[in-house]
Amino acid sequence: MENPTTPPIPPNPENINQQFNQQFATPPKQILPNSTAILVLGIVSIPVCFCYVLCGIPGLAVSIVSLVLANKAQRLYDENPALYTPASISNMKAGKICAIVGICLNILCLLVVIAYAIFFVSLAGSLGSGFPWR
Amino acid sequence: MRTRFINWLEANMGTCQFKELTGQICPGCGIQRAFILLLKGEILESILMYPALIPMIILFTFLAIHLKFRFEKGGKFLMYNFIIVAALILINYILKLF
Repeated sequence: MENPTTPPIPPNPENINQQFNQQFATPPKQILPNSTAILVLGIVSIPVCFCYVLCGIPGLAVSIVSLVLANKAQRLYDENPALYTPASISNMKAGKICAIVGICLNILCLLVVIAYAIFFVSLAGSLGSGFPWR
Repeated sequence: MRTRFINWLEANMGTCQFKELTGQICPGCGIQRAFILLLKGEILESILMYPALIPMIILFTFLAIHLKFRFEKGGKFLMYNFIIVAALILINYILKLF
């Protein structure tokens, strides 16, 4: 007695995923979004620190933007670590550390600027109080 | 041609607005003079004037190349280089203040 032939598997989305998973061990890796922007903004945060009058403010803005983007990218990476290329992950991590170092240096420069401002305001105030009033 | 460029750079150096306002040095003071010294070939004097200049030049050229060619370890090298630049800027500023 002949074995009845099994009917072909009808195509549906689940079967297509099965064939895909059988053909590829892992899904194709994608670039972590904003990873180059995180790296570039993190690195640029230090030269910007001393280029302008108020040393520290533009640099602080740039490095905070970089850190916020890096935290978003870190959350995406934690959800699905195997989905992203290793180069973009290392870019994101390097950019995050550059942003943190940039924030520290920019805060120091900002403190120096504020200290000078307070010093000069108090100097101007003490000179003004010594002015002979009629 | 090279000396004309160096002379033009020396004549047209940008001023530091922080120094104009307060009379005190900022963390970037000396970088233009150090660059001109480097162009003249006086590397030791350039390093003494602004030690973070050469690592900074390496940082930016490697960043441009890395964005084009996407090296595997490029991110890590850039991060270490950046930390060296930041440390040199900080140490140089503190030493020049006192």
